[in-house]
Amino acid sequence: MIAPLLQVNNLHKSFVLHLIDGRTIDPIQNVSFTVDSNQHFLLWGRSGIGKTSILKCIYRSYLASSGEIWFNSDQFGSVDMVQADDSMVLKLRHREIGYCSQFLKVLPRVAALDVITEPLVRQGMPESAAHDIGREWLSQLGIAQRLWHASPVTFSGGEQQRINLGRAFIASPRLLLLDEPTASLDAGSKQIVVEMIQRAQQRGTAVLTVSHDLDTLAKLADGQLAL
Amino acid sequence: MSTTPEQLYNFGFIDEDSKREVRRQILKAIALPGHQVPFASRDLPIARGWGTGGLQITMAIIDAGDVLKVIDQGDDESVNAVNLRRLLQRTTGVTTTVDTTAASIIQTRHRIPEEPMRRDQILVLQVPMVDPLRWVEPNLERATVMHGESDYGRMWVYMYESVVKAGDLRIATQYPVIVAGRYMMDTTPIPRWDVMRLHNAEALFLFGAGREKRIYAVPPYTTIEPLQFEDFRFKTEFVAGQICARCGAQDTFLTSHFVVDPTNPAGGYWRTSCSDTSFCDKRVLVNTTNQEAPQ
Amino acid sequence: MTTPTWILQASGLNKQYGPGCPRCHQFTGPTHNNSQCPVCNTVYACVDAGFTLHQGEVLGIVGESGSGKSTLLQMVNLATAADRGHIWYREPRTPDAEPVDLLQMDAYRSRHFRNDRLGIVYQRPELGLNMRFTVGGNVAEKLLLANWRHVGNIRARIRELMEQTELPPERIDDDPHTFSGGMLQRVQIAKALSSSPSLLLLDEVTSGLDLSVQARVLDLIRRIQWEQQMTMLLVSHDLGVIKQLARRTIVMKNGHIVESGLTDQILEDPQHPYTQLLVSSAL
Ligand SMILES: Nc1ncnc2c1ncn2[C@@H]1O[C@H](COP(=O)(O)OP(=O)(O)OP(=O)(O)O)[C@@H](O)[C@H]1O
Ligand SMILES: [Mg+2]
Ligand SMILES: [Zn+2]
Ligand SMILES: [Zn+2]
Repeated sequence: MIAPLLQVNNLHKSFVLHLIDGRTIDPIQNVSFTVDSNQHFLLWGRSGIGKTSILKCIYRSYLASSGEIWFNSDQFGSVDMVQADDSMVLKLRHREIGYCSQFLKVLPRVAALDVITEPLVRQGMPESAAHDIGREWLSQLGIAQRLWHASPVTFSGGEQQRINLGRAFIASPRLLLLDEPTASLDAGSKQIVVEMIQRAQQRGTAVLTVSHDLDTLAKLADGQLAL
Repeated sequence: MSTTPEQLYNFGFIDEDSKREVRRQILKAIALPGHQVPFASRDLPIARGWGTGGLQITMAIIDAGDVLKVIDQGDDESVNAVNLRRLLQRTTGVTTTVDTTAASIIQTRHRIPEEPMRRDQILVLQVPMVDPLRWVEPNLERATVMHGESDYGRMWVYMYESVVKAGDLRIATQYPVIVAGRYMMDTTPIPRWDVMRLHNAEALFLFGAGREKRIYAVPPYTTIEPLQFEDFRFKTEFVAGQICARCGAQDTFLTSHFVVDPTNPAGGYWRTSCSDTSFCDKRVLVNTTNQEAPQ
Repeated sequence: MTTPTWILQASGLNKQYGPGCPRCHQFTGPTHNNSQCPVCNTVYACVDAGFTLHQGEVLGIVGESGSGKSTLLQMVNLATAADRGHIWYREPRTPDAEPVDLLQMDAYRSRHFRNDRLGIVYQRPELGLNMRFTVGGNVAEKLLLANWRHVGNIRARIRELMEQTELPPERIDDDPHTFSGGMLQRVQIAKALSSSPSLLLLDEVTSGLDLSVQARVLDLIRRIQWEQQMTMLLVSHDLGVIKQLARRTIVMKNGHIVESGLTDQILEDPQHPYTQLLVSSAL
């Protein structure tokens, strides 16, 4: 039997708010699920239930309080993202695990073309080759050519979100964590996202999506968990 | 009581303990070529800054058999040279000379005599300012640490800046050199002309600074490298075509003075002559005997 | 088994100013919110600090004023002598060579190491530059120390570095007093880079600059990091600066490292009460 790409066991996360008398909040308790390679797995549930926190624990922007998050790495074998050291996490982020937050966060002085190709250049691709790929992606994402050399900071919410997703998909990680990918998009843009997820799966990327937009995403998912 | 005034003093003026102390520091200075060794500079009947550093070295090393020469600006007859020579002569009774080749100890300011010095001779230099790093690090303690670690980067920046500002290495006296590949030394107060004459020389050179209380040395056969760049080399003051008006020399360090025309106070001319007067005198003598010889 | 990629591994670094007394531990450290012992007046500037730095990585050091950030940086810079500890260094150009403990080197080797392999940029230009020398002379200093002895070549290299740091090369012989604050930081960066160091140390390099100037200096640092894969240790009390440049961050308080982790984790899920305060004050 092949080990799953991602196996979350009894994940628990609590926050200790030292500034508010050390109050504790426990948004995630005993969450377990597995994601296989090429799978599109959907996590859904009402707002505030801790969906984003789960993604962040997997990406290690949050430190899990207890439990295990086994990632089956190409290069390093099974790695527990709860225990792994920072440099291991950085290596996995570099090549194998992508994360797309709900909103695009970029520096106001970097052009859209550079924003979207940054993961490729970071992996060592020469800038000109990366830009060729980047231009292809930008036109597929329906970003007008006159915007390519402008900073996405001034783009519309939908345009920003498409850049945000493009940047996550372009590097073809083995596992992609998507936080509310369709939240601020119109019907046409949602369709682009659906196609991006499908194509990513074809390229061998497993996608773990957090969303409450079941209408668009549920039919795409081949695994899901309601929180 | 019937003692002569001279016998009121120890041989060489300062007491034996002080001399021994100076000699100890001299030995240390010889062992660490170019390194500035502190010493307990004594009070002398001469104001500091008038050669008391060199004087104490000479007093500490001289003995009754020595033959002494004292020069200032290369001149045996300048007031300062005469005073120092008189003091040393009265307190030691040694023979004095103006002839470089006859002297065993030469005390000097500004010059190394033109005639090559031998291994049985010692040149004692009176030094006003000691540390080449004072241009870039006024704090003495920090400068000492810089010497200790041969941290001479900033001095090299100073040399670089001198090239950039003047278009050349225009450092007249006090030219910095590296001694035996280790310590940076100021060649105060000798002209650039004399700098390379310290290099691999046969004689021992001792430098003494009375005010700054430091002794340093260039022992025989020590390498001296002036700070210079591949594209801006160290140069002496040599000016082609200048000759000594007295002896006709073209291969000596020349000084020039203005000669006023007695008939016209506004007129006059610059006259160059050897800075080493005793050597010049010798050449003048040779010239006249040569001229007289055919008769 | 991949070869390790760290270039610097510091451990147990300590620096105290004062003799210390048996009661120091009762009063100093982050839990007592104090670096100085009230009994013997000893200041604990840095206590048992350690970190690993990988090739091409930027490590941020944050903390309030007086927390020991600069002390830690200056120990790595070999300018402040650590009371004890180790700084193991592996030369990236010869990865097979044995690591050396920088703190065990004699003064001469340590100075050369500092000149050749380290570059440092300070908040105040007067600390990194000699204001009596020209701009070019300042940039030349490390080259001259590394035995560059051809004025023509030195000046060509200075001009190249000035271009790289977006300074007008024709102002090579100008007096630093005629440069703006942002330009002086560039001069410091040019000087730091002149020896092609393997580690760049940055101490609050943009504090005190106008926001727009700050952004341009940070852009320059980011570009250098990107183009040369420069390893950097970045001290700042500005979380925005850290967030832009550093992937991993150390948080210091009262001489102690109270937290360290991925920068996004430090910012999004700070664990230590002090880090939470720091993050909440910044946002
Ligand atoms: N030379 C020194 N003598 C005495 N105490 C010192 C010395 N250097 C640093 N300290 C003390 O060590 C502590 C840490 O200082 P340091 O300069 O490293 O802080 P920092 O985190 O860099 O602060 P800032 O953000 O203000 O630059 C402070 O309490 C400081 O007063
Ligand atoms: Mg500081
Ligand atoms: Zn003459
Ligand atoms: Zn105490």
